[in-house]
Amino acid sequence: MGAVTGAGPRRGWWSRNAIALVALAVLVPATVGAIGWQEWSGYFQGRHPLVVPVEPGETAELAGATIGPAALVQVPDPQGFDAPAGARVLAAQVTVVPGEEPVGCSRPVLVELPTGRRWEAEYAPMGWRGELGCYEATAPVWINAPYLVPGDAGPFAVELELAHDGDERLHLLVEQP
Amino acid sequence: MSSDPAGEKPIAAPSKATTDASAKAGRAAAAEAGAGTAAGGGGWLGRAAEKVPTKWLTAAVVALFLAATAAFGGLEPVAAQGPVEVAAGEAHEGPMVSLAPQRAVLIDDFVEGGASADAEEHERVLVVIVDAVNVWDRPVGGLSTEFRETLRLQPLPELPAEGVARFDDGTIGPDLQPGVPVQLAVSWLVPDDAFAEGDELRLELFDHTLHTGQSVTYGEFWDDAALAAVATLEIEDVGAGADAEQATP
Amino acid sequence: MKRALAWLAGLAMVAAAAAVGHLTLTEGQQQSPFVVQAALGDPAVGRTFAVTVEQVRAADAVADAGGWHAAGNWVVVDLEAQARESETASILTLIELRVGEVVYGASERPVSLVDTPLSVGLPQSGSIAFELPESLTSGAATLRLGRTAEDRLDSVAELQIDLAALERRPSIELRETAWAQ
Repeated sequence: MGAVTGAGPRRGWWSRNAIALVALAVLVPATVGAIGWQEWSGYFQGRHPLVVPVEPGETAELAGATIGPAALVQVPDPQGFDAPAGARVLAAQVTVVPGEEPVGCSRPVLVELPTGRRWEAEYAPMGWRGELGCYEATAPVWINAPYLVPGDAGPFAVELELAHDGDERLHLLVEQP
Repeated sequence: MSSDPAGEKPIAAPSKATTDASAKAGRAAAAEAGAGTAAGGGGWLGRAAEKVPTKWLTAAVVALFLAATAAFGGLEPVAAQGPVEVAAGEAHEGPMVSLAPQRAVLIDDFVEGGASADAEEHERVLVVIVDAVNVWDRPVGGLSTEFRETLRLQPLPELPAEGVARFDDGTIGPDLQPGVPVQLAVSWLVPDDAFAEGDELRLELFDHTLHTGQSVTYGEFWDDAALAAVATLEIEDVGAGADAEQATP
Repeated sequence: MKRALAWLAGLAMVAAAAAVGHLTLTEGQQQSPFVVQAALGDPAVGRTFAVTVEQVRAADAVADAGGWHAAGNWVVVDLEAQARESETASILTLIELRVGEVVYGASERPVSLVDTPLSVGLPQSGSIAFELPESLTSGAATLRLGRTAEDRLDSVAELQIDLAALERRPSIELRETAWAQ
């Protein structure tokens, strides 16, 4: 090819398409990046929080706060609860110790592990000890949330989510009452 | 290909000849057929089209359009149908609800009916007792936008009703079930100098149009409220209303 | 011959298009709810809830345990209901009686099972009351119960009712919503 220097327009395919090729080299990764970012950011924002299991008796660090250990106990004197015959009143007890930042957390949810059925905390009767959740807490909080569950339900985990960190959700595994 | 000597490709010449011949034959056949149709009975559509006086066609269409327009009243504005006058106790039947305003009461406060006035803000409550029947085929919420838009005070047209309650058992924001009559107390928070005992209240009744959702909307909904009737009620001022049975459901 | 074939093919295509147009489900059919047919006394299990309609009666007046009462043409449904998966937003917000094309909503006037959050696995017992026009005492009605007022593509429990065949009482007191026994 070098010999035929006189043939001006007869350049190689690569050099003739040099501009297009450079554009392609820029645009293809840019397109993949833009579409990928768009789709994956939607996925990460919209997905369910990751469930992080925590072994019984252990604590977990979440957004600077220390959560746990957790316990699930049967409420010995369920007088204040209007519980139907055959139901149990359980209480989920979780210690939340804030780090540098104040911490907010949802009311824990009782999750039946084999089925995924979920119970929300009941309103506590007068004289109930402990909190149902935490709000802008700067000092350690002892959560003590009561639940009405059918007598044959279980085993359970205690699910807790922090207000400012929707990405992760703790499944605090507990000794069954 | 064109630069190739003809001799090297003996196939090319005969094949070209064949195509030329067949093309010619085709054209001849077409011409024959054309002559046939011009003379014979076929091709009626083409002949009919030729007979249409295209020169006059545009004029004819325009004339037809103008005639039709004139038949419907030309470009005159449609005579606006004014709202119907409704006497106290008389019903105006709209497409959604039938409303019969009974009387109007001015009261200092009407918490039971869903309208709590702030005396420091110089507010009082104007209550209209109205007999209502839902004439649609599904429930209408008493506090829904569309229901509250059906009743407006003529002097304060932008002011939405604050409270809607049943007169018999005091249910606030009751659902109006189809065909079930109900007496309602509809209340507005009004400036305390806006109305007085003995004033004539002009109460406007609006009719909505039922729309069916398309593409991005779904279901049926009421919209486009238009003034349909005006009721005249004499206002009774019951003061604080402690002994006023009229305003306490 | 060729011409006849072309006509035949054309007609066949038109017929095929018409058939496709007729056989394709409308948007309403594609999005229709999953109906669970209920029967008196039998649990009807939907995706997120389960109900057992125990009795349906008519009355000329109803009262609730709190002392509220009202005359009228009432249909009273006694039932048990529970949530199946979650207690979040577990109120039955679709409670309606359909008579032909007309839809009656559950009355919010008495205290009833309307607006009661359902519990997972723990059935509650209560009543629902419908206020109907005075003249509506016969005809076929459908009781429809669902978790959301928007019933498309979710379970709806339906019970067929013959209004004329209902036991009619002068007055019925609604059940107080309580745990089912």
